[in-house]
Amino acid sequence: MKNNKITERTSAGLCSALFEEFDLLRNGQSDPSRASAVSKLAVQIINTKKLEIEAAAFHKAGLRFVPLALTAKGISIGGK
Amino acid sequence: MMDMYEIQKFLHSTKHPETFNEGRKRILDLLEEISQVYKETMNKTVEGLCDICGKGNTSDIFKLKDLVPGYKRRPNKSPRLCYNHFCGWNLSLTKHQFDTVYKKCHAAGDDTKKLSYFVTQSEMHSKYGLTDEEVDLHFATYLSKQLLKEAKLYKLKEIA
Repeated sequence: MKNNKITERTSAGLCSALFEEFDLLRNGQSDPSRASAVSKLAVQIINTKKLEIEAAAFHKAGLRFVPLALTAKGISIGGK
Repeated sequence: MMDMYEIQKFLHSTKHPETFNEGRKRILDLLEEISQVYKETMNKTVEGLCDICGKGNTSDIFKLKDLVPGYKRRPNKSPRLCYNHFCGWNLSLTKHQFDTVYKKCHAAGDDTKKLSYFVTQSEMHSKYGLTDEEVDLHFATYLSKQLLKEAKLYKLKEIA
């Protein structure tokens, strides 16, 4: 099924995308596997967003973040 | 600001009924009018179907709601939910709100023990309550759980 509609990248946009999936499932245009995949993807997006909100709160409180990166030699701290 | 307690006391007083008869009657009429408007507003039926399950009004009690908790500041964006989903969402939001307030209080160093008192709880809610973005995000969580449930139900129906 080809869908060219672009989802609005906000929490409200995610809600409307999920509502759309409900409609498709009810109308028989989608199947349970697809609905389940959409739901799991939504959970991942939500968790990322929650982490962002928490990080923003910590940043506001004055906490400094040190970037971590996985390299071939191991974990590099502070981007070095 | 009117003090409702004072008004009730005045309505129930029998000291000078002949003097305040006219005033009492007017207040009683106004109260009756307010009660009528309240009943009409509360008992209005919402047309349409539930945004989650696609069901309509099933009875006079189990009605569709077009204004759900968390969206009272922006009624235009509120989803339309059937009674069962309305109750589920209400419960989920209340729990999430309490947890968030508790967490925010703890982070801000407020005395979280005060949360056990209802009055203080409402104060805390106004201070550390959920923002619109947080409500939307929690609603998305609720929707994704419902979608997973619905998908499982459809799968079971397919097998049967």
